[in-house]
Amino acid sequence: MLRKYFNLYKTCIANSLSYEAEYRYDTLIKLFTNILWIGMMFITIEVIFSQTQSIGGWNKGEVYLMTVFWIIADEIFSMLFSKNLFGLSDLITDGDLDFYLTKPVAPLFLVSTRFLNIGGLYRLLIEGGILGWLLWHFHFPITLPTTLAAALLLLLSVVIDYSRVLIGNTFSFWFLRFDNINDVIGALSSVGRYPLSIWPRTFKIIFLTVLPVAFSGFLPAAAFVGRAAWYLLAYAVVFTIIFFYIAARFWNFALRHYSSASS
Amino acid sequence: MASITVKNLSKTYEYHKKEPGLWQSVKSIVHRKKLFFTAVKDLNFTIQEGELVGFLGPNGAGKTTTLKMLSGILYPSTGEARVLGHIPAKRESALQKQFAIVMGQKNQLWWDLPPMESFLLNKDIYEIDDLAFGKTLDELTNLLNIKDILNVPVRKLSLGQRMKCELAAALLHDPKVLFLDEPTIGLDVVSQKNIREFLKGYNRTKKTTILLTSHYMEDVEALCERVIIINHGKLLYDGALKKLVDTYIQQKILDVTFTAPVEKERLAHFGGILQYEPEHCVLEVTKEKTKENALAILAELPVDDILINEIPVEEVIRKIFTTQPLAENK
Repeated sequence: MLRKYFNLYKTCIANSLSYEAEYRYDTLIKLFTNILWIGMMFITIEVIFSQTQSIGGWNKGEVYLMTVFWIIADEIFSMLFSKNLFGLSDLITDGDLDFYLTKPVAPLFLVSTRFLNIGGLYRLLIEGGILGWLLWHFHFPITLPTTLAAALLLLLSVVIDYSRVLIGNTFSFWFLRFDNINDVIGALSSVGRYPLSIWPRTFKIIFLTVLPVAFSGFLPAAAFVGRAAWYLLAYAVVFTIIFFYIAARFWNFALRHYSSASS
Repeated sequence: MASITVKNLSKTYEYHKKEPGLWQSVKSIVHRKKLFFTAVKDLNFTIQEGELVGFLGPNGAGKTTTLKMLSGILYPSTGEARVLGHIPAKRESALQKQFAIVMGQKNQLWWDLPPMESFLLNKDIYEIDDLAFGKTLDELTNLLNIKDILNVPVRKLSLGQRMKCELAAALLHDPKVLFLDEPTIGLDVVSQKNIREFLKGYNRTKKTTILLTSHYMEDVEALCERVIIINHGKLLYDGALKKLVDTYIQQKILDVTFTAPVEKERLAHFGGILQYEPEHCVLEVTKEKTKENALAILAELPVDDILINEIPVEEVIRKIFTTQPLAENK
């Protein structure tokens, strides 16, 4: 069983590579726009910190760290899943989901993994370089436990991102042409680039529960600089599992309501 | 052994009615009228292993809905469908590995990649071992004559080439049951014929049970000995295609060309005049009287050429659709 999915994933990677080769210039252009996009985020940070020394008790270096962790989490997510999940609405309206339902494989697997954005690897490399430079420039102390904690939180945040986008797009089973939900999800997720402490209490709770957007940048950065309590880490693990479970259940529920598009 | 059994199968869709216009659209966001539409109503039929059955009906008759229930895409509202002993709505892989569905209006091949890459994906999905995959692929590419296009991106293929590749992709796992929803739609005459010949040969050699919908009567005549006809979700006819013509059509067509002009009045007593020109006419004659009348025409009139034709199946089906409900069938 596991072997089958492993093989399937390997073929998906191979096919995505072949797609990448077909559209080589796309990769270059995306690389360029990506650098511009990162630059814009850095300018925002510079503007904020030209007015103040810290926001919500976090200094410039730490906020940079949040942003870069957030970017990396986002890159991993979009490399693995985004093209697939964002296309769900189209699969449903065009009725192409039909084929996924007749094959001896979990439909969620094909819907989530069919296309990998291989070009994301280049960007991930560049972003890794930026992280390295950041650590060196702001003299962050690097210890094994904090690094491991940050890495774990970063991975969990990818799972949370996945579940969140899956839930959002699963709504298209009822509301066809629901893909603008992804703009909302995207806008919301940028909350994760800033310290959670800038928000009032109610929002803090919301961003850690029903709209889990604080996990991708803020939490890994907090853990990396040793400012995340152990119970927050434990909470992140438990929450991720529950949230993923909810997303998967919701998906299965929606599949039962699928009424397919006409021929 | 029965491959497919359908018992009292029905499917009702829920939909919302919306009047045209901006204000009606705004209103429909707040309050919508819920309506129900029965696409398939109390359908019953059985298909034996290895049969190739034509599934006919006008647009919106419920053919595609039935195929979707048979392949587990849709849940039936009531009734039961069984394919190879399984209930398709359960979406069990034991069944999914044994059937395939091809829809002429949709594609399952990866648009930006060569067909071969989609084939390889199916190889993993259906867990086909290397040896069997190589053998089947070889067979299919030869039969369908697609060897040269296996590595060309799908979006660069013609519709006919793409359809052949769609068929190959669906048959790689050697399915026991195949559902074809208008496999020849939009294809030119030559491509249609190729697909038809392929299906015929495939069904004969592999004993695959095939249920096929098509709007092209040539497809049906060339492939199907048995047809199931539905309209408005209900069964109209289930039986041999030949018998359909015998049962519903009492006439034959006489196509006569004359060497000299003949007045219309001299023709009237032979049968209904469908077409008349002084030197050519087409007559509709009851079957029993065909021979007799043809002989009389030859004897009495200056005949250059006479043809006795069956009413085309297409016409028969059209008659059935427009003059229903029909009497008891079978």
